[in-house]
Amino acid sequence: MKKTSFFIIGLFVAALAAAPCAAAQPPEAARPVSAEELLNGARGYDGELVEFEGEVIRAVLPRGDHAWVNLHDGTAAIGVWVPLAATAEVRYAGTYKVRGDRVRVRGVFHRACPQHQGALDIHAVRFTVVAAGGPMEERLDRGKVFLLAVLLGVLSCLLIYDLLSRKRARR
Amino acid sequence: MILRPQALDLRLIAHFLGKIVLAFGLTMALPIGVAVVFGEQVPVIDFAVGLLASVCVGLALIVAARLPGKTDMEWAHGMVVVAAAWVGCMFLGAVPLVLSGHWGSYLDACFEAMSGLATTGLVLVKDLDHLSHAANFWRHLLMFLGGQGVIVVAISLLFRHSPGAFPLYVGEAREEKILPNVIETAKFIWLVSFVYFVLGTALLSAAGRFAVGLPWKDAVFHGVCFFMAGFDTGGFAPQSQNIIFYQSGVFEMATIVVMVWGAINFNLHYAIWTGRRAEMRRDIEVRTFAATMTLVAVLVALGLAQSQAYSGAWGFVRRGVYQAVSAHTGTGFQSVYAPELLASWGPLAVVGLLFAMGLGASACSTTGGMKLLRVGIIAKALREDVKRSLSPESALVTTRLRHLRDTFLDDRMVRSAALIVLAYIILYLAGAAAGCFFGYDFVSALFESTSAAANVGLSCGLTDPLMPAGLKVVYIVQMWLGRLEFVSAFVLIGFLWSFLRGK
Repeated sequence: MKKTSFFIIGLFVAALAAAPCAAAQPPEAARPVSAEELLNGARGYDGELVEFEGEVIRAVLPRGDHAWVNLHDGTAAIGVWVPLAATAEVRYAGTYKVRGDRVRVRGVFHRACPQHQGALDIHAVRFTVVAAGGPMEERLDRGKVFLLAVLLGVLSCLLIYDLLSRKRARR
Repeated sequence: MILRPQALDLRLIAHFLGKIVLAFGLTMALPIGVAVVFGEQVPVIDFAVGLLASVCVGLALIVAARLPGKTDMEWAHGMVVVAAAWVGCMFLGAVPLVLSGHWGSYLDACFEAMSGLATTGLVLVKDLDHLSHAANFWRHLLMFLGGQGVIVVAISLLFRHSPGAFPLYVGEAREEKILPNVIETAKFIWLVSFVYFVLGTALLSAAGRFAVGLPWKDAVFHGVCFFMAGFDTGGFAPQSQNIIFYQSGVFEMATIVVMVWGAINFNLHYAIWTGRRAEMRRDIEVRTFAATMTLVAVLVALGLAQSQAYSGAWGFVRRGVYQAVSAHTGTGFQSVYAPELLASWGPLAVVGLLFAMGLGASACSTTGGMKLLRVGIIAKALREDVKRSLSPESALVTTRLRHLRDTFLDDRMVRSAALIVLAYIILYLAGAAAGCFFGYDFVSALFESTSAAANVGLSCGLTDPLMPAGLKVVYIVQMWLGRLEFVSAFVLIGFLWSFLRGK
């Protein structure tokens, strides 16, 4: 049993050691890309300077002097690693009743970031709010209210029928 | 000759089906409460419509049945009720979802509802990051209700007599009673779940607040959602990036604890609660889990090394090990973007994930798949056969296995385990064939099919609102069959056949 365990652990360590360390070198020109393009062609974009634009979602997540900002461009969302000071401009983050600020980011794309334990991310070198978000109004569809009224009517009929049939059964 | 069901059979089924639908409908009061807490008005209407629709359907069935006095049901009735109840709950649970406007069609909402109830975790929601708190909570609550068992919910709320409840309990793929009385068993399941709910939510909320940096209100909401999706090995998440959104290793580790809790047999929870902690070392399921988890981790490690997917050990732990645990417990939380799985992971790592998803975890837990108990039984039977062929003909070869108590392996046990395992393999391959029919490549189709049928929820990107409607239906059926472990679903199909063709 012990020999088998040592063999398995050895195999495991050997597999880890075989993984080479990749160092990304950012090229100079930035390419405007969508999240979908980045996700589907991650190996091709790895280490490149890219330009990405999207809505800030949920919240800015601070980590010491930096922060994570997740940006959704309508196709998917990607985490952006940015100095905390640069996020001071962000006022709104997207939720049910809030449209988040729209932000344009220029930064280095990593398919498997060595600094963040293999995360797929963008390290921002420029972070600009291009359109302010704001609160969104809820819109009530009258059809839903009508449906609710109909169901209340059906329920009342069922309860009355049930009551009457129970009375009849008792008699 | 096939006998057509009698009127009393139909009335019995309608009566109990009505009760379950009624209990299910009442649970929609919870998201209404969430909508009130977060000041959301429109979702209140959506869930009120869903609640009233369910109550009307449930009451109509009970009224139409007019069951005379106390009538106990037989096994076949129980199986039919369970299988039909899951379909009924899917249709009704989808009502508030489709009303929210975040699903492209009613079929998509039904897919999401079945994915939630069956604790799968494949999603078709659009713009999840702007979904209301109430609808988001409902998605996760569906996982909690489905994981604990829709029938367990109904038994706890509306049943007073054990004889009527037992066939229903067994029909929901739970062969093992924890306590002699099935109602007491249901109550114990809720007690365990409630205690873990408090502990798990506290752990995840603290991680959300201090490690992720969410405001307290959000941290608690996300903690509740992640507990329900993690403990019930479901895999939904409140944000479109799943667990990637949180960008935190601490939060991921907290979810691993919850996933593993959920993957343990409720009987083992009971053993631990009653002080028999040694069972954790001796039980065949735990031992099989340790062996298969090691094998999966080795396969994933070799695959990732081969494809040079990550540069360091932590990358391997946070992506590789996390996905392996998520797949093996049948949860489906993703710390890797879906397209990356097939594009960057390499074939061996994908084989590791497929193997983990297909096996599943413990019986009488919230996981899907073949289940480790069956895998352990088959492995022991194989070992016994090899031992027998190597021994003299006169030798008596027996194998003992420890699952809650000591038992000797017999042919009936092995046959029953092998049949269900075979049925799962056929289901995985049938789904893959359907995926190929709709034009997808075999590996993607097999990955998504295994994920759906084993109720895991990991996706390689195939599941999408734009995928063909036929494939959505195939996956719904796979999730349903996989969760109910075939028997009650086949009994329902047989019942409908006898209703049409019987004499």
